[in-house]
Amino acid sequence: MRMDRRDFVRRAALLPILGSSLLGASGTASIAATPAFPVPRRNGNRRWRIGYAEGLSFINFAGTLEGIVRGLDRQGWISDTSGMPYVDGQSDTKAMWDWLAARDDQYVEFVPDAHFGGLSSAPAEPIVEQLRAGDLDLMIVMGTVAGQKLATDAHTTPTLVFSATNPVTAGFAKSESDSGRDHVWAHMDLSRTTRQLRLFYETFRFKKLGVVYEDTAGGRGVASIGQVEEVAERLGFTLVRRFVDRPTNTRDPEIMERYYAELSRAWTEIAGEADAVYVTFGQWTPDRFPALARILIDRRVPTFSQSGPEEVERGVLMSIARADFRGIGNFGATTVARVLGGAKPRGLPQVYFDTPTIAWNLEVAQRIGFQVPFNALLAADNIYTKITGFGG
Amino acid sequence: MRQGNKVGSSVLLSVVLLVLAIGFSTAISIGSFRQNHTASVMTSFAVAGGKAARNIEQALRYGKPLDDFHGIERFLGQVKASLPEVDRVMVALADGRVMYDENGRATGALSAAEQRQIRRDLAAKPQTFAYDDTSGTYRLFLPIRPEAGGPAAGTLVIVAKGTAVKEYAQAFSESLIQQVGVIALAGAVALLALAMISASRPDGARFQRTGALVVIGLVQIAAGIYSYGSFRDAYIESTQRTTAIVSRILQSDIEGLLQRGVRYDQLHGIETYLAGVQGSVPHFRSIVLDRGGQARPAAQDPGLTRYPLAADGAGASASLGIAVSEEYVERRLRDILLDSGAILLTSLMFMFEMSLLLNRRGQQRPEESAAASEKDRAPQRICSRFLAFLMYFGLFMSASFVPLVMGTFDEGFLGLTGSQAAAIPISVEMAFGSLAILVAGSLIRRFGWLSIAYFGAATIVLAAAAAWLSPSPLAFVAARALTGVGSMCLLVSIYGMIDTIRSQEQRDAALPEMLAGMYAGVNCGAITGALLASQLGYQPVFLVAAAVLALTLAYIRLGVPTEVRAARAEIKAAEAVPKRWGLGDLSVVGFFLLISIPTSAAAMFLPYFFPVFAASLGEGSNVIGRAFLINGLCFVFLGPWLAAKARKHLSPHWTVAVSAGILALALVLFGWQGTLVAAFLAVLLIGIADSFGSPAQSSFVASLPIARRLGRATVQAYQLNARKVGQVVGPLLFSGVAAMGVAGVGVLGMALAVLMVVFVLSAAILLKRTLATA
Repeated sequence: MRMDRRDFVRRAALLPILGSSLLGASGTASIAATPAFPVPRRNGNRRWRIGYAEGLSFINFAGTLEGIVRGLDRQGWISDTSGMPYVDGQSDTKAMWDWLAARDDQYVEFVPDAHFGGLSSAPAEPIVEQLRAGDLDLMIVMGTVAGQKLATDAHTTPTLVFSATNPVTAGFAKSESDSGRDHVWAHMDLSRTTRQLRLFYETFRFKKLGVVYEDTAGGRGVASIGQVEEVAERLGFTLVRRFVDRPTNTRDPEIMERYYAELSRAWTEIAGEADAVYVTFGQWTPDRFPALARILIDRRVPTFSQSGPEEVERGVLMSIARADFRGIGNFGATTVARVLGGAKPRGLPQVYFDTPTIAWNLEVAQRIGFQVPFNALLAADNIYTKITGFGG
Repeated sequence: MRQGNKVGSSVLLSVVLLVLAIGFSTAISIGSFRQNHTASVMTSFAVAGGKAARNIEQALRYGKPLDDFHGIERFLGQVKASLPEVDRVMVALADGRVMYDENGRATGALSAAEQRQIRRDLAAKPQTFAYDDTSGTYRLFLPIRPEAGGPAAGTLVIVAKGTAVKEYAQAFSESLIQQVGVIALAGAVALLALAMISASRPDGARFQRTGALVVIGLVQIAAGIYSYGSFRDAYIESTQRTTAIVSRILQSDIEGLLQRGVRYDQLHGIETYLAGVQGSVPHFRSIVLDRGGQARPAAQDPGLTRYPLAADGAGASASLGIAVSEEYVERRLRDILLDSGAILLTSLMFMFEMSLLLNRRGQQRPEESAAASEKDRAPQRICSRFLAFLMYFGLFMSASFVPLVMGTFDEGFLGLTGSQAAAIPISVEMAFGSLAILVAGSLIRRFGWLSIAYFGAATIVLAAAAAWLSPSPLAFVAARALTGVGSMCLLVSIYGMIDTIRSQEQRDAALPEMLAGMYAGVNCGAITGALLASQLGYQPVFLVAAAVLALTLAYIRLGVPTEVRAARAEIKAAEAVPKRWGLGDLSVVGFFLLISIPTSAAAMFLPYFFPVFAASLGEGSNVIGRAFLINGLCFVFLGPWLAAKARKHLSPHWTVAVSAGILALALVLFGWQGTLVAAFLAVLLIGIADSFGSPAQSSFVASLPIARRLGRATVQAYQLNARKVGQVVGPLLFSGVAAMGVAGVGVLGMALAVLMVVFVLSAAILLKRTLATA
């Protein structure tokens, strides 16, 4: 049937949500339409001074920082960041920060001595003092632990927290729509764990799910245990829990070896009890992960990575996680720009769903005796045919 | 000289008929080919698009949201790569926002009309398409449903330039026109020769008429054979095209995974996947992945066409095998043959009606009509037949889509659901038509048939134009009400025209001929309208229908002889007696209850029960169309002859009884067998029975005492209304016995047989009393 001509003069077209187009090729904003980002400007007659803090070196933190920097570049706050020392899978942010600090951008200054790492073990008081003195105009904070230490009432410097699993249960944000503090903002993607577990359960229909985490408020927040428990109750499976202590100093080899030993013990125990294991965020380095994953592979236990494709590459069976950091980077850059433009952090949208990608590891599947369906392979974004770092 | 003039005018008329008939059949063939070709191209697009939609759905089930789908351009790009005619492949959300195309993120929105079409059509069908004449593109819409049977999360849209899709059909049209032109030229030469031969014969006129019909019929058959050949070739080409598309897509799927490092031995469950693809293409017998050396029976099928695949990382090779179902292809070719036959028969119907008109015009000489006796064919017979043909041609152009028009408006209607609103136009048309019958029937004696005819014809033209312009559902319903009024007034006036024939025998002969014209118009109008609607959309077809219906006005004014226009029904002395209300007369009421209503209800087997039954067997609309054609053929070609035989050998009430008996037999036979063949046999018997039974019923009521008091036309109007009541009751009865299955239809047949017996007995008693008191 031909289209009725009259229909073409009817006003039926829907306007796209402006925020979607602003955030680039991937990712979605929260429900409300977001206004255009502010035009870059200086802070009076000087540049904006930006600081950075993280709990530890982590791929997600480095990737998110890189995404934010690229986003600021696209919006004109900084220029030509093509030479920034970053490669996919990198966890170090110091080198990036030093490179940024050495530049002479017009509007913003990445303050050279304002890169604070290792907050998972280091005290936050010196940083808080610096913030209370008004030395910095904005803090970019990565991770739950750093967020808990710096998103507080001890200062009023705008503090933007990224890459925290659940800021609400971690206690430094009130809700998805309200950070609870005028100077605090926290990125939220609270349903990610629910989506992941639902998919994992529908694939394997396990009765017992193993989870390993630190049994503290922070640790439970990082692992999103509240959501895990909620999903377990709804779908009718039980949790097999093991606890490990977070390393107090990730630079101390002895502490890290103790951590890996605890992890090995925990994973060995749950492998014997659970039908499947949900691998929550941990503080291992990529090169040590395959050896840990082998514990579960050898016992033919299906695994799902909370983190994403990097762990699937190194020995987890599957994951649904963010595609890349471009989307969150754009979202973060826009938030930074608005704060620098005068907006209060509390009033800005916090919810942003990472663009999910599907990842499978076929060698893991083969070793545990699982046949990944053809349909699933067609739908997958990342297919790993080998376990990186497995060594046979 | 006079002889030469006679030959010349005979040839001219025959050639005009040839041009009209061949033009009609060629137009139908071209329209039908275009429609089929477009549908076939869209089906091949749907194969590729459907695969992409299934891949997207799989990813949605894995948690990817449609409004933020990483990598969707991979699936969309694959569709575009496998369909060279396609311009663009998009994905829109359920709210109409376009989010992606084959290059990634996209912006835009589907129009309100497109969204309405998607909501309406995709609820019941796996795909739908539309032609956008502003951009000159075809758009195919496929739903994306994460859960089978669940709501659509979005729509996959394939956009192709109209020229790319129409190219093949254009080539067919040009080739057909050329070929038919040659055949028609040969036919014209034959007609000239025929005219010359006829001029020297004593029965020249009759010889000429019959010969011309034979020549033109043969020309149409020749054109039909050529069309069939083209349809056949097009179908075979479309199966080859679809097979090529599917093989390209599957090769791309499999080799895409191989390039990502997957091996053949890791393609678990691919058989299920291939089975799903096979199921979506009806002419595939099997699709297999032959992993070199496997001795699975399916891979050894000699009928497989093999498509080699790349080697995997481990060096293993494989090939894709696709086997086409010869049985299915043969069945489809048989369908094409039958459809071509249906087009040919419809064209022959058109030719026959046109020939009656032209031969009547050709014969009309003032000296001949004045000298004509009642033994010759009364002009009202031709006029009523052709007028009925024109009227029903125009009315039934919209028959296939009147219920669908309500769904094309932006607003709803009185808060009714879609399916409820769809039924309103037809119900309103019937209701107003029934009222119009009663009013027109009572007015016709006072005003004569001509005034009612002008009023009816003008009204239906106005109604069609109003339907074309309808801006809202209410306006459209009002237009259909007007259609009911106008059509029934015109129909009553046609009965009134027949009533002006003095000879009882001629009047009885005129009724089945009028019905023949009516059914010819129904078939020709329905097929023409459906083809036009597929090209122009629904509402423009009403404009074309208005133009056709305007021809009824022109025909009444210019085509009906003056003496017929001026004729009035004979009013006997008894009709001067003050009237009693007709329904108080038991004989006519009894007839309505025993025969008119039950037989009309039983005849609803075709329009109501058969489509439902055929659909339950998985048969398509072409099978249903064939049943309607068989029914129409009975009326057009058998009805007048059977009616004449019945008049010669049976009394009116026995004719009525026999036709009712055949109707009952049809239903009982079907109830006993319950097969598709039995259903077709029932349709044939119903057509035969109704073709002479329906006019016989009109003749019978016209012979009752009440007719002498109220007038034949008035009583026949009551008879028409009684038939309408039957048409309303019929579906209720069939659905009422549905719980008994097909046997329920047999029960209805037996009930009809009982009523027929009661009628025969009561008619015999009445006749006996009449003779006794005479």
